[in-house]
Amino acid sequence: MILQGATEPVLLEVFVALIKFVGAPAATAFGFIWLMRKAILPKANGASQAAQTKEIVQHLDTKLTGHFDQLRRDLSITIQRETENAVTKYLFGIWQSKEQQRR
Amino acid sequence: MSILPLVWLGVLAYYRQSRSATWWALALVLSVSWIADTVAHWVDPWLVSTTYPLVQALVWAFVLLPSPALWRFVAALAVTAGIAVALDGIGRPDVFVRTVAWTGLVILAWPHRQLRAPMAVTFGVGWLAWIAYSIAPGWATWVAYQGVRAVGLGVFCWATAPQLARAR
Repeated sequence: MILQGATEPVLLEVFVALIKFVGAPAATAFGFIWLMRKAILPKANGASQAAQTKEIVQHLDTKLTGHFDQLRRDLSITIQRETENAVTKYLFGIWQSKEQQRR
Repeated sequence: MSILPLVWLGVLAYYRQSRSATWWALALVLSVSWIADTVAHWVDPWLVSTTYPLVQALVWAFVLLPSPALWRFVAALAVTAGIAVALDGIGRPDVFVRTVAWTGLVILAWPHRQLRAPMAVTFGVGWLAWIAYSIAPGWATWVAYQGVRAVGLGVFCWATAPQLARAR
C-alpha cells in the first residue's frame, strides 16, 4: 500500500509532463497543419483544379463555336453572292446573244 | 554556421552554377538565425530566440505564397505572436512560436519535392530537438539540437551541389 501510494503521484507527474512538453507542441503542430490546409493555403489542387480546367475548356469551346459560326456565315454569304453573280452573268450573256440575233 | 548556405550558393554562382530563386530564399531563411545570433549581442537573447522563427516564416511566405494566402498567413503569425506574449510566464512561448513557425515553413515547402529533405531535417527534426532541449536543457540536448541544424545545412548543400560532384 505504501509503495503504491508513493508511485501514483510520480506517474501522474510524468503523465502531466508528457502532455505539457510533448502533447501540447504536437497538438499545436497538428492544429496549425489543419488551419493551413483549411483556411490559409490557396485551393489550387484536386477538385477545384478540375473545375478550373473545365471552365477553361468551356470558355474555349464557346469562343471556337462563335468563331466557326462567323466563318460559316461569311462563307454562306460569299457563296450566295458568287452564285447570284454567276446567274446574273449567265442571264446577261443570254440576253446579249438574243440582242445580237435580233440586230 | 547558418550563413553557410548563402556562402555555398555564392561559391556555386561564382563557378557559373546558378541555382533557382527558391534555393536562395531558403538560404536566406536559414541565415536568419545567424542574423538573430548577431543581434542577440545587443538585444535580449531570449526575445531574439523567440521571435526569429516568425521572421523565418515571414520571409519564406513572402517568397512562396500568392497575395491573399500570404496575408492570411501573416495574420496567423500575428495571432501566434500575440498568444506567445500572453503565454509569457505561464507557458513556453519559445516552443509555441517555433512549433507554429517551423510547421508553417515545412508545409509551405512540402509541394516543392527537392526542398523537402533540407526543410524536414532542419525544421522538422530540428523542432523535435528543440523540444528535447526545452524539456531537459543541458549540453547534451544543446549539442543534439546544433547537430541536427548542422545536418540540415549539410543536406541543403548536398541538394544544391553540382551533378558532377554528386556523381563522383
